[in-house]
Amino acid sequence: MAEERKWYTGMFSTEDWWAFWLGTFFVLLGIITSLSGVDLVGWIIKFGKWVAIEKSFKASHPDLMSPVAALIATYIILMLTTAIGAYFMKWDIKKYIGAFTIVFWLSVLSYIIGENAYIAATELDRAKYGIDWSLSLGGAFYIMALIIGLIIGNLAPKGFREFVKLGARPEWFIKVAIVMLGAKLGYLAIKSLGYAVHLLAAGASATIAAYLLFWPLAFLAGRKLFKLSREWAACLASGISICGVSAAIATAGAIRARPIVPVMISALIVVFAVIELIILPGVLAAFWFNEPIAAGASLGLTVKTDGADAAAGAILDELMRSRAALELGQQWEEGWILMSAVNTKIWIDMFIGVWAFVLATIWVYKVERRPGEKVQKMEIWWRFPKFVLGYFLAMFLLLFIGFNLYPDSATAYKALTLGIKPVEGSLRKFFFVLTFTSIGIVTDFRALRQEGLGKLTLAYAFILAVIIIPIGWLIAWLFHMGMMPPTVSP
Amino acid sequence: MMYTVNKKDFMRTVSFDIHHNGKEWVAHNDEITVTGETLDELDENIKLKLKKILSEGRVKVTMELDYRRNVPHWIWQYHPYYFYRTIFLDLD
Repeated sequence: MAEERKWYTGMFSTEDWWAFWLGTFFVLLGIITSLSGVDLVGWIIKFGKWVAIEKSFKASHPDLMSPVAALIATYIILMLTTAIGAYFMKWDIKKYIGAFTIVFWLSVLSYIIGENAYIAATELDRAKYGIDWSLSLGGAFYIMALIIGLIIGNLAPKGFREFVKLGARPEWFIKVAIVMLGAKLGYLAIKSLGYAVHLLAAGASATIAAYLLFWPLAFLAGRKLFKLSREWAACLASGISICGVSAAIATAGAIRARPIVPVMISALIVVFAVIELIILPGVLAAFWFNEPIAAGASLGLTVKTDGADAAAGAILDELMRSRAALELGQQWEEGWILMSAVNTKIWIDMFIGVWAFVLATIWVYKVERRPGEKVQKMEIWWRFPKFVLGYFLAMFLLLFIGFNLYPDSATAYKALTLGIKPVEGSLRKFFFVLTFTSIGIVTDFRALRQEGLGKLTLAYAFILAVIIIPIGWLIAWLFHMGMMPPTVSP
Repeated sequence: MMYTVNKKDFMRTVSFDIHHNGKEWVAHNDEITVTGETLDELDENIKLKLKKILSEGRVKVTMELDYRRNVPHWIWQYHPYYFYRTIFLDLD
């Protein structure tokens, strides 16, 4: 039966809301642990660099349980919590659990292989692990997960590939991780409040500048250079200049386009986002080492899916910090470059509702002039990314607790570490690895061979290379120039 | 029942699910199905249909795209909602 849409529609039936629920749940477990001392997060698996494989993982609080018990506990808890979401979203639970299990264990395998000291240890680490050479590939576990995912997504038999896709949900996993990243931002801001506020403000400003430049230029290029219809040009412009698949869908809905339009564009977006994820972190680490925060922010402006952006940010964070340790002898605090990448992307995501509302108003009242149709302001809320609420809720909760329940920031930071560190650190990173594996699995390069995508592919590549990336770099630099990550003692 | 009455403005409201079948838009609920190659044509056909069933006066019509039918499963995680159209028809 068709029903009128309400403000709470989708609260238990969409991945966006379930990212909010799950992310907030894990952050609350961390907060309760810190405040009460009852250990609700010690089970979280923590991977680390290793030479002897039995030391490749352990429980976040090793006194609580053995490494193998922690690994099994992590599997069971993540499987159950995500399966609860899948149940409410009316997915096929049996298939989801089977597929998620494969994604989970592939991610574990990737994490362990990628953290082998001969692959991951830096020159400074080698003595600690008793080795005399290593590839110094920080973040290799992310790349390993991506490669394994891509092999399955592109080379595995079709039946198996399609089955595993049911448990490979990169945007869902990364949105859960981003809520935890909100906790990290709040936790770090307790001792670096001014820096965190600066980062948030710079990201917001850069995003507004990008909106005003990217979309009109991309739309014009689509219309004038590639002769696309208004319907195709608008959806392509939003997808490539705002927030990828989400923007393409939102724009198509706003301008009342046929659903096939954003679906075809979305196939392009995810493939190009993975190409950017593979290329950009290495390029930025090599050529923009002097502006690490601007480099991170540029990813948020140029990589068009949340998953690929955060993934690229995580790799860039590892590469930049390894280089800083080696060349400058400085230990940059983990996560600031990544948070810079996610910060700009989150601001972009938040405005999509407003942008879609503006486009809907223009299209319905001016372009199509459809009599009797009314654009509702509720569109803004329906399109608002709800996981962002979790990100800010987690950040403000940590700040509130940190500044109100403890005598000073140093005491607060230390007291909150017990519960928050496993969630914002180990668990968030594991969700990132799940995301990398999933991105690989769902990225099918054969999509580029689809009939009718030739001109669109050309338009996408041109606009990305000539408009989005150069302007994105410039804007990121203008608003973040000179910002360096805080340093920590080794 | 063909319509509900909105508690705020007491207007009759008819709700449809809508999808695109590759050729035309299809709006349907438990009782009626209406098609149109464009949304303008669909709106007009809905008006003609409702005129035969309902008495004169203003009617609010809502249409939510059947997301699961028109958008592949892998895309749902990116954005959960396509459009929810609201049109007002005078059945004179």
